[in-house]
Amino acid sequence: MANDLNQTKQQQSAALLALGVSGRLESDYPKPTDEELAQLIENSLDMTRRQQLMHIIANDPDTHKRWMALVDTASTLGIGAFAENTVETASPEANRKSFLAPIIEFFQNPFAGMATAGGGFATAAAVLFLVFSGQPEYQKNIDGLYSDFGDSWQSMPAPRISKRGVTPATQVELSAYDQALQDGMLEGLQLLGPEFFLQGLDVQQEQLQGNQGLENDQYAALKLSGKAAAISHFKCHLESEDDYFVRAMLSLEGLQPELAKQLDGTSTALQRTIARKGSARDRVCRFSRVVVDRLSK
Amino acid sequence: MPEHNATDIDWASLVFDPAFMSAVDKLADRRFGGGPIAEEASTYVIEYLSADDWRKCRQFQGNSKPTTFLYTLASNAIEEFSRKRFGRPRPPKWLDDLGDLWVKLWRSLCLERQLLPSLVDRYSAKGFRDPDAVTQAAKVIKARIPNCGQANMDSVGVEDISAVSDAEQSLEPQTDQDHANPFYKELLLMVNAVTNEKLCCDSFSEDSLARVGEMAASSQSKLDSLRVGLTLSDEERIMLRMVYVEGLSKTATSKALGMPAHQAGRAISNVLDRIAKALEGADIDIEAVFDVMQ
Repeated sequence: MANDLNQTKQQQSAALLALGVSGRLESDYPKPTDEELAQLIENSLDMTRRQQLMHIIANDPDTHKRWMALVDTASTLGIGAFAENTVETASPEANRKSFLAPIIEFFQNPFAGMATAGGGFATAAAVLFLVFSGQPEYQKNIDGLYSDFGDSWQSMPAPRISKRGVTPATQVELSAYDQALQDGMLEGLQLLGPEFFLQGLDVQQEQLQGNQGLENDQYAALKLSGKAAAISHFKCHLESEDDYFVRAMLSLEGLQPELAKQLDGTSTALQRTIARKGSARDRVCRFSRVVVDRLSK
Repeated sequence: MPEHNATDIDWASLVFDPAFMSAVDKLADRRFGGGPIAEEASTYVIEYLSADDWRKCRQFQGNSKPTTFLYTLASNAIEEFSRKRFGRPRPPKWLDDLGDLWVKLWRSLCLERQLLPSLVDRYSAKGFRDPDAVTQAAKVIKARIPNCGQANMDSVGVEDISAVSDAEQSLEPQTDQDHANPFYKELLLMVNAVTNEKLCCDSFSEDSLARVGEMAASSQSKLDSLRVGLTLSDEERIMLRMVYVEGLSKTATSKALGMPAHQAGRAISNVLDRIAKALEGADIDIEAVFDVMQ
């Protein structure tokens, strides 16, 4: 712990030294109007003017202060990108949507899920997040895993982590269903960044194949399964926090009904894997292994 | 093509909408800690927006959402209220250079005489900022401005960092240690002030300041070398400043810059690696910098 604190302070010192010696540059660009700052916080400025504003903010202290004041306001009021902080109560209709069923069941019998989920405050917090987020689409649940956990790693990946079964995925032609899984894994790897690498699945080389004749919902569910598997694969191999596995498990259970509707072998295998018992970590890691194994054949 | 029709907006309806009024109250409470001052501030915001037949609002061009534009104006109005209500003494330049958090804290602590615990809670609400960063900044402000919060407050005179940093800095290595670049002394002082948790009132003694000066003089060529060897992009500088000077969380920094939640953290990690290599190349011992005032 002492070493961690010292490393944090050293990083801070290094950052401040670097900022200090880098100085300020002159800028010929016109300073932003109030409306342009509003557009910046909404992320709706065109690229050219955005780059100009970045230059001005980086080099003009007064503009930097104006912008920081607006960032503070945006965070307080939940506007622009900070709108995700806003807590909304789920409507009754949202509560009836299938992915929330296990969560509602949890509230009706709070002890039922505890042994499976690992119990504790993290479980309650994760459940509350999903119930009260007002975002029933399972897309946002999976995206939430990346936005909330994509940067927090208790250990960093080795430069390369191999899939089990070294055979590159491209050697065998994948079915449309497994291709959808692979599209999801590729998207997930792109979000995680270049430090996270799977042998045989080169983010730079592979392209998303897209929906190849599948129903839209079916393609979406399989792709999201792949995306969930991508981050889970690394969370399982590197030491990771329990909160992640609880949230991931609930997200997979949200996918389960959509997967259960389909009759193909991939969806069936994934749905059955999600349904198997065990701790949150066991279930999530088992799921990611199944996905990776399917793409390794 | 503007996204919103700027001429048809009923500004009175938007401003007097209960949701907007509630948002203004929230901003004022956060800024002034509630109570009669916050209420005065809220009233001021409405007067500011409605003055001269909503003149400031009518500057809207239709390129952002009308409400976001109103919030930007409200944010300006609150700071204008603070200057009018509590006076407009200029913060010391060293503090001004450190940025928004430091200037706001200085105003809140020293001019408006707000209590530190409530400021820490408000500035770090919802994980927006690291509460330790806020506490550290307040500690340094009080250490360097001993009569903070008193009537006729004056700041400790320190060298004007901005005048030196804004001047054209020679890229020629400085070899005369008797005439060391005063900017570097102030820089090392600032680094310690922001990062060193053990600083307190005695830390800025003559002896301590002299040690910093000696280190700056002896490290001059190394710092020159670092300046030449390291290039940071505008976005990298903004991110580093937001996280390590303003104390924002990396998630909040990502959101402010319109990035996915984890991207700022990743980018900062990469730039810190480059900075570490540049420090090593310039033979600068960061631990020695950190320890100089202990």
